[in-house]
Amino acid sequence: MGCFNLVNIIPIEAKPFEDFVDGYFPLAVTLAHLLERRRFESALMVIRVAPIMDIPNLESMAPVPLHINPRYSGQIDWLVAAVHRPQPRLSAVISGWAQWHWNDILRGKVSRLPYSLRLAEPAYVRGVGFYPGNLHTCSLGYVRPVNTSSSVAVSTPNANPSDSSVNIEQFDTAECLCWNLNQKHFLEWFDRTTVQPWGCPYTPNVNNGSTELLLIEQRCADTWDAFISDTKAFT
Amino acid sequence: MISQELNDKITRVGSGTPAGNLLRHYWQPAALVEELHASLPVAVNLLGERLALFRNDLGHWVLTARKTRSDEPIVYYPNADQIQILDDRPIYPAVEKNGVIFAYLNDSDPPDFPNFDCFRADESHVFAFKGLWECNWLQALEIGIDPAHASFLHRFLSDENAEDHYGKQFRDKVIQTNIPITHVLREYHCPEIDVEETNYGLKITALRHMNNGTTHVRITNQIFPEAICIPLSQEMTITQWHVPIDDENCYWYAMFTSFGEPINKQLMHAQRLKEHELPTYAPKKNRLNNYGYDPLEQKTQTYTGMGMDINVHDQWAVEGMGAIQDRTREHLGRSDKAIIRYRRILRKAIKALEMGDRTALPMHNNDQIKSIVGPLSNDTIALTDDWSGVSHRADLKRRAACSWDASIL
Ligand SMILES: [Fe+2]
Repeated sequence: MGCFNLVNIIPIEAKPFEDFVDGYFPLAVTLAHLLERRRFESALMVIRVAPIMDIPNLESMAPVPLHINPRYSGQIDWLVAAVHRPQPRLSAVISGWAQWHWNDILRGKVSRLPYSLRLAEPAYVRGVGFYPGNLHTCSLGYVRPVNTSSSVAVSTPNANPSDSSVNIEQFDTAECLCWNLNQKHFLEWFDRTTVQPWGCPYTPNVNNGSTELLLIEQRCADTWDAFISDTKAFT
Repeated sequence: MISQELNDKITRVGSGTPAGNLLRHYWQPAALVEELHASLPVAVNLLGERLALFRNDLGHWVLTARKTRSDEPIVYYPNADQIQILDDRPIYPAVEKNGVIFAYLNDSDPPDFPNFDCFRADESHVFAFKGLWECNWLQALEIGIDPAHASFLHRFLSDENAEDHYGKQFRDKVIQTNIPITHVLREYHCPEIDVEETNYGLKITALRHMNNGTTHVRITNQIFPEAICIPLSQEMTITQWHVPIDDENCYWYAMFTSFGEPINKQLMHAQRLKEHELPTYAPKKNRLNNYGYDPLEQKTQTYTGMGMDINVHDQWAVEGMGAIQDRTREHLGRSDKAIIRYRRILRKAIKALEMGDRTALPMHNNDQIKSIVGPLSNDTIALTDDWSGVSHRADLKRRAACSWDASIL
């Protein structure tokens, strides 16, 4: 373990959750509602096989039409996103990967989803939520470190030296899965041939010191099983 | 709102369609055993295919394609001598289970049957019936996994005496109480709904918190891909499939299963024959006679004014949406949790088959399938703190007293 900068690995308070989000609003608003309702600062969440729409020139808070038009509808097949809401914004900051298709084939294979994306019906969401605290991260906002044992940690280049007082001895870095949180803003096309979504076990080549990672101990597999298997359900 | 393309994908059932392919990986109710007393073969219209059911040389039930006239109605019961079987077509296997013939319309090896109560109960304790609904199978199924609708669509404005409840839905009292279910549904119309994914589909819990620290707990189930298992009364459950005849018509096939006394099949049959025509099993109340709508009854007795048979209410609700519900105009909300969760499983399964992965389908692992028992399905009233324990113990008690092996351990 000597080759890692352990100061940067900080166990944080984390809660697995499942929920339904309403959709119809822009995705960034819909997911902000979820964080608000569950009192989370941020979350890593996964959505599968959910209908989507991207209605041109519709104000973000305007009512959606009564009828969906095939030109702007499609389906997210798989999406994993880090989501956090910087106060006092109404919409969340989203970063992550997705695989999707639009009904309008002329829309083609663009490599990124539009910010105006909406879920076209309510969707079931699985994830891990993080509570507000004083640990500054790049993609999860200010989360709460824990001194007692936690099966979830964050490895962040943002950690400041005082965070090293956090006890990480109980966190087993040799037996954990690492999710790369360093994504561009919003949702990029995920290509399995070029992206390794989970690093396992924690290896130097996933972390060059500037990458932010979420670490989940594998010994807690039961708690995280459904979530982790959903995050691996890309094609 | 989903696009027409996505709606077609989850509703249409013909050979080669995504949902049709999925349904062809599960045993489908094809006929009632009571329909087979006349001579064979018997016409069976299933998943858009025109088939004939008969016994092969080994005496096993099989189905294969039959010759079809272009002007033939979709619900069609010709005499055996008018049925002409086509050669060189696939022969599909069929089996008899407690009053229902199940067919498997696929070349691949069929999965085993799970150990559901309706399959393992003694024949004396299961009564099967069916009925025609003139609409797509998916909307017929989705009403059955919406626990909130019962408080409106099936609202009775007063509580009848429960003496005459035998074999009827929502007419019993809640177990170990004197409270009629009609009272609970009417007075507490905003249930808290919890949905849990299981190895057979979904377990759906509707909690109606009452004003004295108690909670009414109703547990129902979605059995993948197109069945539900719900309580009928204190001693009976209903396991009900919504089986496509074609894209725009379906049959409900119900297996009423008793955990108490043997079923009075003669009474239950007579009750249902009052409401249905043979040989089509078409409901006597239907679109043509406005489902028997009576404004006076609506003012004084029921929410719909369509009589006391809740099947008619559901039939009106699902047929009223059109032959195939236009989901490009639909706006699901939070009480549609079970529908949302169901569609997720449905889309996942369709996608798995598109990727050629049968093993990802629910109930397709024969090593585990026999261990799928139950499911739990009951109505109880409990102290709110212990609703889960009370519901579970009531189920175990009923199973322990059962004359057939209803154990779930
Ligand atoms: Fe109903």
